[in-house]
Amino acid sequence: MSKLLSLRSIEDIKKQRYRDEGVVTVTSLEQGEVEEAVYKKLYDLSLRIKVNPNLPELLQETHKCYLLDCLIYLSSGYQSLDASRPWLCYWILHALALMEIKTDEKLKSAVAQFLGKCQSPNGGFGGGPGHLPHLAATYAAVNALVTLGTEEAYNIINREKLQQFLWSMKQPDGSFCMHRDGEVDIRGVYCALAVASLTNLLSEELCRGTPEWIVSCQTYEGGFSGCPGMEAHGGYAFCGLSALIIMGKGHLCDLQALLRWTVNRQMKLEGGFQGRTNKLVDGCYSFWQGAAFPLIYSLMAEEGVRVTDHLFDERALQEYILTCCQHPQGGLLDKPGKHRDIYHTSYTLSGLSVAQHFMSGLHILGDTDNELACTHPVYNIRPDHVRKAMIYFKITDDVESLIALPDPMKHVASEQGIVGIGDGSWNLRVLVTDLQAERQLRVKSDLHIGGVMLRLVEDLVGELFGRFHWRTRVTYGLLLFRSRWSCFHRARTLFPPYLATKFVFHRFKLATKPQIDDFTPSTVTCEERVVALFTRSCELSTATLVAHQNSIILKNRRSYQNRNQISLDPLPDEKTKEILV
Amino acid sequence: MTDIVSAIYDLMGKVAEPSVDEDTVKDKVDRIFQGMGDSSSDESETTFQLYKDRKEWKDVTPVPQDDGDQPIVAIDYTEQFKDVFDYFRAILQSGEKSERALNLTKDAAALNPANYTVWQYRSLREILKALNKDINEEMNFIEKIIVYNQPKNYQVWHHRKILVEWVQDASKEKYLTETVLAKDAKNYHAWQHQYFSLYDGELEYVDSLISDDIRNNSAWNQRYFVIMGTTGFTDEVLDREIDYALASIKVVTENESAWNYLRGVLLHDKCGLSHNIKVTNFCEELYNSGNRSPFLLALIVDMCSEQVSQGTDDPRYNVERAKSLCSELAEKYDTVRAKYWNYMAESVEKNVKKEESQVEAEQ
Repeated sequence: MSKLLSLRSIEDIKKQRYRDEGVVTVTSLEQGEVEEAVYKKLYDLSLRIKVNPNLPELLQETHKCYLLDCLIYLSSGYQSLDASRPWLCYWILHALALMEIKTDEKLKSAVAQFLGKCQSPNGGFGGGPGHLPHLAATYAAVNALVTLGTEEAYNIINREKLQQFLWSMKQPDGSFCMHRDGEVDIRGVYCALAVASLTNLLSEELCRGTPEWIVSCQTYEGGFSGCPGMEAHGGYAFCGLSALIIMGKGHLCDLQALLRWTVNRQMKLEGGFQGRTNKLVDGCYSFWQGAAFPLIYSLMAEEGVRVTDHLFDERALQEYILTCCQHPQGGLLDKPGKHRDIYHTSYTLSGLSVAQHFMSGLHILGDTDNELACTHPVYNIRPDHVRKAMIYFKITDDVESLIALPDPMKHVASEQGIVGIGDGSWNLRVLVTDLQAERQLRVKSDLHIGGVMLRLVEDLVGELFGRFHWRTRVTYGLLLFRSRWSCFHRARTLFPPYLATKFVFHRFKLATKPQIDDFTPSTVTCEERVVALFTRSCELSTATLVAHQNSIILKNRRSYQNRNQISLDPLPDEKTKEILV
Repeated sequence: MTDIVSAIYDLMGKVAEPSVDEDTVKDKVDRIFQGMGDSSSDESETTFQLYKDRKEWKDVTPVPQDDGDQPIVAIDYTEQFKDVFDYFRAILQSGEKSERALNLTKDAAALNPANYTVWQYRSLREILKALNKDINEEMNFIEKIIVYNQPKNYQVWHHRKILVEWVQDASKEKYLTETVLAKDAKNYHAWQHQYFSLYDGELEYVDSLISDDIRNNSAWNQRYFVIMGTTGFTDEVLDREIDYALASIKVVTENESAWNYLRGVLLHDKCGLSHNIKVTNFCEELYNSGNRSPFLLALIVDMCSEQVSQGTDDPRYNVERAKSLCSELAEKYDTVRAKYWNYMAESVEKNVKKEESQVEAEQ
């Protein structure tokens, strides 16, 4: 369900000030200084918003310019990141993708070719051309290539060698080291498993001992540390949790302790997240800590606990990001007074995206144009890009290993009797009560809801609609989805109570070419209804899909035969077919 | 000069990890101080002789970086950076392991200490081993880089760790980590290194850091770790640590580190969170004195939750109390976590229902 959020009142914020109880230490002094700076920004906003009610605003255009500049040229100040250039590519591409900025094909190809230069002949990617392969650089390069999403990009990855590299990093205790003779910590595990699962190289043997090793990193505070015994830390906690979920072993950790620790990392006054207990807020933890929430929700669902809203204050987080982390000349930053950089730009925007999306609903603070695309909480890549890559890398004659592929929400889907097999497609059981007919459809995320309905009709065609040509139905389906207005109208005005947690309609901007993840198993939950469009003979009808135990029931059809705003003129045939089916 | 600026930055508390500031300290030094005619630093570009101008390197052909036809994320390298790495690529390619190659890796590592390829080539498996170098010299070199230049860099600490493992002598590590922690008592890398080289009397050191800053969570975590690695939480130690945590909470009741530590210690109490009389009495007293630290209320909520699910009948710990504390937290004392507290209230109630239905089923 989409909801518009409003700012916290400045009086409430004032009450959140840190109390040092008369014991002044380095921690309390630094905290006080940061709160002062943040308060000033929030106070300033509370005045400015009276003049401009659209505030706070995400400066998408300036961020875009900054990122595109960086994609081509970086000052010598970036020499310290000369061994992290695939990271620079990934951070920039992902940030652009979140703002739905299309990069031109030539540029895409150039990035793919450059990453190819960073690939080691022995497998894996290095921090630059000629560098040794490194797990973090490999993760960044694969994420960048998946974000590019072109065949050329996918083909850069030498999977056979990559598999050898991943295996060569594996340690006997289940952990992974970052590079030859390199350090061992939880980043290695996450990078290796994320890459393996995206490129279909994940196997039970590769994960042997790994869940146990990760669990040994969960500290008494509830978060995860870099290696056993160390302090719980946001970045490492994300790595640990994501890696467990990739392996389907999320239940092994102490979920309540993890939730308690994570939820307590949100700062009272600032609204952003800190990385560790009693440390300072930092924009990048908006993602590292923020993304833990959707992952935790999915594990809670596994335990039968259904979350109906974010468990952190998504409004305060957005307030912090939009007010305190934007550089007026583009790019985002850690906290007021810090330099902007690509790392913070990417992760702070990712955090903003996490805060804006709950299941299929949108929770936007400020102008509606602040909306960012959704990000996959395990990989921090857009879910449509993740799926596309997984489909590309699947090996058809090896279905068994596909089943092992991670879907963070797999259990949610299977609860509904919708079983994923890893290539992004799953079986959707539909029971049409009016007709006493049950149908099983193989559906994929790139299938539009209208397409699903058409498929259903196709399926029932022999019994019911035999005398009509398929084109008739396609035409009507398209009519309903042809304009942005009608889609937007349907999604936001007409259907919101039903659409909220059912099928994802959230990228409606693209509905005239419906293929973004309008429809995913991840967001299907029980007891909720969705209104779907249904065509039958020459009528237009709506029908309600109701999740019922293990199936989805189609009922309450209502005729729209006489709605005069919908023209029944046929549209060009071939084009129509291409778009919808 | 770089050292001075780094020190100034440290004083300003500039570095927040993971940090990738656009202007590195070195860059700033170059821009700000070179105009002042400063040339005391032997690493500054004014005195640095490029490798391509060095006679002893005439036999080596530099290898430029191969970025492909269209460079992406192209960094505008300084002339020195380009020169050093052109020659580094050349020796990496030829596999040269010599004194001059060792010095070259020193320059390369100083220019970009995050370049793991350079460190790997310099390491004990490659050049250092081939030349059979004095490890102590290398230890001093890396120590300088860690302390003055790169206290938050994975590669330098790892290089140090490998050296220590090689010489099988961790006696100098105490000094190193304490020097770094004196500047930033929460430096994750330093704590990780400390962890790898536990020493006698570390508990006293950790204790001194907690006295310096009672909110230093890294020190609290290390306290836990040291105990786990030495005596373990025996009944006696458990009792001592509970006293330690409670005494600290008394000083600052809103210090999450101490509360978390208390919870951590209670993980070793066989009876659970809510059956230690010392702790429950302390909490009740604090509560009755009017204290409303969110961490106090949160602990009582969890105590209620535990007792409810155990079906015990301590009148202090019941569902109603848990629910009313949750709503107080949500509405007044911890509003940023309002949604979490509402969820907690629901989940305590669910526990009761589960309990009841189990009882019914048994009957």
